[in-house]
Amino acid sequence: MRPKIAYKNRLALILAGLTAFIFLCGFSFGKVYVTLDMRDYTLYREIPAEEIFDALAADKQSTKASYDNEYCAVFGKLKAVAKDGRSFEIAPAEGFDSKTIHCILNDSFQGEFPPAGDPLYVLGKMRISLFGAGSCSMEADGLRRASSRLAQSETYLTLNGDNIRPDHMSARVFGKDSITKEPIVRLAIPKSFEAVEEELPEQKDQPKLDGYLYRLNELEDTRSSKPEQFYIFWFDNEKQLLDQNDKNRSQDIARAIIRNILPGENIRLGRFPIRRTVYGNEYIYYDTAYTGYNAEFVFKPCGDDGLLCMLYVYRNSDHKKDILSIFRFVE
Amino acid sequence: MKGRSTTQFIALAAVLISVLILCGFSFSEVKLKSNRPLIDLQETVKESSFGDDDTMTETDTKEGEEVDETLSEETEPVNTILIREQNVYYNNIRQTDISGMIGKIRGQSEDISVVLTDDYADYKNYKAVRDALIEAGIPFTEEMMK
Repeated sequence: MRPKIAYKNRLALILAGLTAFIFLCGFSFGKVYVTLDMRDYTLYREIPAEEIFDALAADKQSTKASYDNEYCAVFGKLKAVAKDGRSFEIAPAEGFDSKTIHCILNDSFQGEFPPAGDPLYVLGKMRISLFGAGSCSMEADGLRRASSRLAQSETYLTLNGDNIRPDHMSARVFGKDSITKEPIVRLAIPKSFEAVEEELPEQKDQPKLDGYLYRLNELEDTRSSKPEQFYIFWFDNEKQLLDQNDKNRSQDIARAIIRNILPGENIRLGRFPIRRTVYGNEYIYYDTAYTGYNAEFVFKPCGDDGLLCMLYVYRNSDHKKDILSIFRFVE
Repeated sequence: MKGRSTTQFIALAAVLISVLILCGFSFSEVKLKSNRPLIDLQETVKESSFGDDDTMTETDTKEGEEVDETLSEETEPVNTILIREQNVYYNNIRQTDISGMIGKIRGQSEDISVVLTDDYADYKNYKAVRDALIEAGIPFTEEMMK
């Protein structure tokens, strides 16, 4: 009988060990802090409430494709607030208000509601339901009072009161599709970055990188003696991988890039990979330090073609908001 | 008995390997065509430093117990980690066991401030404190740095 008991104990020990291991893995991955966290500076796409209702009436399927899970700043008027103070309804700012958007505020909101009937922006994540004629609701992160619509052209609002217009940004493209010859990644950088932009220099025994370095501390509004640098470049699998069979191993390619740029870096399990979904795109993060600076890598895998790579090296992240705004325009 | 324990050992190893793979661990590394750096950080970071001295310095602190050595000059507010002249102080008491220090402050993480010397010369301690905070699940934010 004794061996049977020992076997059961051992089995229990193994199971307990495995459970603890998985538990530890899951929790350590979830708590890792990243500097370039979209939640610190989310850009909400400005849109009037009536436009969503019009879109739903025209084609609810395409409305869902366009707006579901999208971070939006919906302009309307406050119709009613529930007694719990967490849920409320908004209607189009003008005209009939038989249609409303049901909004639920997240727990961190500490502000006050304007009087019923006042125009406002609700900033949050849009949810589109296809049930019946289609409806929409919002997980609201905050409110912004506004006497009228802020802009007729494409604009993005933030919780801290900034308004960002894509036509005040500059387009950049990275990579080239081998068949269509079209760029693989398109994004936009703040126009101010152009003043400190330089192409990445060619390194010995390396193909020239398709990318830029931004010396942000040299911008007129900063002129700091402490370097703050942002690199963005395209890693081309075909040009730079030794074994083309590794093309689909994005995570391991990201690890190899980190080790190439920071030789001797001890990349520990639990600190890599940190995965975050930013405006619907999947990114791999790695946060570390480099000779007295914070260094944060961000990778966007793009199939077998390569990776869009970003590296932020800084002591004082004075331009963190500007960099975070770039993520909104990555396509 | 021997046969059974061998089987159990193999089964355990197989399960562990599967878990490691699931957790993202990879046994074969991806290799780039060239080992030369894609970006020369050393060069570019120094270029724009406007003469800032970024020399990394070694500390002379020893692992072990807390040293009862209070700051002789002006004192920092409570719940403050001060990194200065190659020493780490918490609540104005010099610390040599950073992990132990982090354990003590775990419950007060919301009020923690990290104060660094002006020239950031004490990089090793800065990195140790920063990593220990992150490892302990205490977010290291710019706001913590005064």
